[in-house]
Amino acid sequence: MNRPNNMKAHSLFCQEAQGFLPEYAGKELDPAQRSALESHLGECADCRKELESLSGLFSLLEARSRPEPGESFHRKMRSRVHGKIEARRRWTLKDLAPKPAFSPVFAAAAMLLFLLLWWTLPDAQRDGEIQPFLAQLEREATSSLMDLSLELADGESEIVDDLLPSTDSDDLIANLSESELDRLAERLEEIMG
Amino acid sequence: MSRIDDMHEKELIQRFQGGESWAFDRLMEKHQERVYRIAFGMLGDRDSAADIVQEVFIRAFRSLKKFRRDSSLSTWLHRITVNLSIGEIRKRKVRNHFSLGGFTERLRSPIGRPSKELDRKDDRERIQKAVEKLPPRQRAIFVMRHDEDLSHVEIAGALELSEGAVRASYFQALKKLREELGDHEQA
Repeated sequence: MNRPNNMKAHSLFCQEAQGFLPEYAGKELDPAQRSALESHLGECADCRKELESLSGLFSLLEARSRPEPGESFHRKMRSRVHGKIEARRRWTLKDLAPKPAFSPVFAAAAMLLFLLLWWTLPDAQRDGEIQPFLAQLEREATSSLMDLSLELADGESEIVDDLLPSTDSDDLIANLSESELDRLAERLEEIMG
Repeated sequence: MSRIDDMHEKELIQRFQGGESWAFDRLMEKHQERVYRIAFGMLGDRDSAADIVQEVFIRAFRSLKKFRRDSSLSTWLHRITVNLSIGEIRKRKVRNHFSLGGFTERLRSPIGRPSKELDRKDDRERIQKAVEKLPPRQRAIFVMRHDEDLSHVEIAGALELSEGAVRASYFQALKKLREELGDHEQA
């Protein structure tokens, strides 16, 4: 990191200075910021090169289009949004998902169910096979949610988002076995025709 | 599109919270174009952008009754837009993981088309492809800063980052675009 030789109150390090280069190129800096940056540019060839290169990039980026949705967009979108709101009001899958207010009740019920299963399992399963059994359950649940997520990809995904707020597809995929990946691939082909 | 100032916007929110649902349509009218452009900038196609707009405003409709006025409505809408767009990017990654993306990519290939006529269109496609290679949050910052001219403060509010982090991330995005587009220039 270059630091100007004659440090002044407003002198900048390269990293900080480069953060201001896009605004400098667009003439958006206030006089004090501009002056501090120019002082740095006067002494730093690397940052001058960065500035020159950015200016070229901005020229190229002018070709980037700024899409306008069209005149009828608002009317169509209003109708789509209200239609969906009405449809979801009538019946939504979300109604089947646990509500946050009932979370303690569901947690308690799940715990009771787990204890019941635990005591009714044969000794061998309880001692030696319970871990693979639980792992299998978890894999199946994850795989089912992935299927559900993909099926609902076109508009209802929030239901899955609510169930799995921190779902990261990459992590899920990384943890799937070969056979689960095959199943997911088959499911994808079905969904996408 | 009607111009609604901030005071008017607060009044519209209050009216909606008081049960006058027409006020929601006015708020939607004000904000939907920018929401659309941010989603389009991040995803690169009109249908997906329209789906994001629809979902953003469905969520807004459901949550606006509890909206606290300590942050601006646009900041809140932009946050939902970016999060939903990132969700869509992740879903696409899952699909591409199974090579279906590679097939559609080949269909879009410009091989055989007369290049002069389509130079400008090719430039736009090339830039959009480069933008789509940026990591999702960096992509959101680039679109909001470069395309939508939002300030670092507004972007920082929407993405819950510091202003310095937004500034640095925007510069990194520009560097990556320059490398990506520069490589294409030489090819």
